[in-house]
Amino acid sequence: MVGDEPAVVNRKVVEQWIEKIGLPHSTPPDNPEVILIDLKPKMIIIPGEKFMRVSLILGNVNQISTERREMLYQRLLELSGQMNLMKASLHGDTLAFDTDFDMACIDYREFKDGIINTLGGFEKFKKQIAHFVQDGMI
Amino acid sequence: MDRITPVEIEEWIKRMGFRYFVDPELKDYNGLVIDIKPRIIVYFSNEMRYSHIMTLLKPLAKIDVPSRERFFKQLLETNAEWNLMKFVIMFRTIGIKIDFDLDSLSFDEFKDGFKALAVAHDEYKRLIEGQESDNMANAMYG
Repeated sequence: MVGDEPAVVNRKVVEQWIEKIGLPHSTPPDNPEVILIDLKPKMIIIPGEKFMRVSLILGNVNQISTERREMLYQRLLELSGQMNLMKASLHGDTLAFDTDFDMACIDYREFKDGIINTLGGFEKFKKQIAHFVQDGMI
Repeated sequence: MDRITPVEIEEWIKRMGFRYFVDPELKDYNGLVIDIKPRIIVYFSNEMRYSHIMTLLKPLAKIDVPSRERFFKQLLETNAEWNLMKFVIMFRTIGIKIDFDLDSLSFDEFKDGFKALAVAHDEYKRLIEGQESDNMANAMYG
């Protein structure tokens, strides 16, 4: 940590960072552990003890036809190879682009870069999964 | 903190006691091949902001067509469980990859990444391939 960075990064500090970046956010009533970033697409921030995860929600995999799922999964794994610090993941039925942060060494600059990287990565790769949009994703 | 350069990364690899060679196929990525098992490649992003270490697990061509969807789904589900590490497809091959930000990378973090890849390789063998683990992590790193 440098300068005026807090010694311990916790949920409150993360909320302050989100406000400093200027992102609209809320706490889902059914899941007070997470922070919801009210953008389109939605982002969910899950602060943990060791790691914090930022998930950009792509959509529900059940909205993709079975025949095209294999192609989509392969494309997402290929995109994960091209992404920096971000990866495609499947949480139950929900596909997302995830970025993990190590709570032991995260600071505001890294967090802000990570958010920008996540949004930029989504914009960069959106076209490459755009043909799945007609199936209702994103 | 100054951005870590490929030359410094090469010094770190030597410091870790690994032998390596330059693969002409990785020339465009400033890539090196680390001569250990599992085979690990080290390469860089175009703008030299990120360094990547990656195991090469299985060529895409070796995955049975009927089981591909289930296999890829398992990899994406595992990605959701892992932190700072991911299954990817690069060079037409399934692999496990870690990205490092060269603006904040330390030698210890880089070194820990190699052990994490060896542990993940063992997990892959056991959970996804359903094979006996090679215990690479123990063999290499104790």
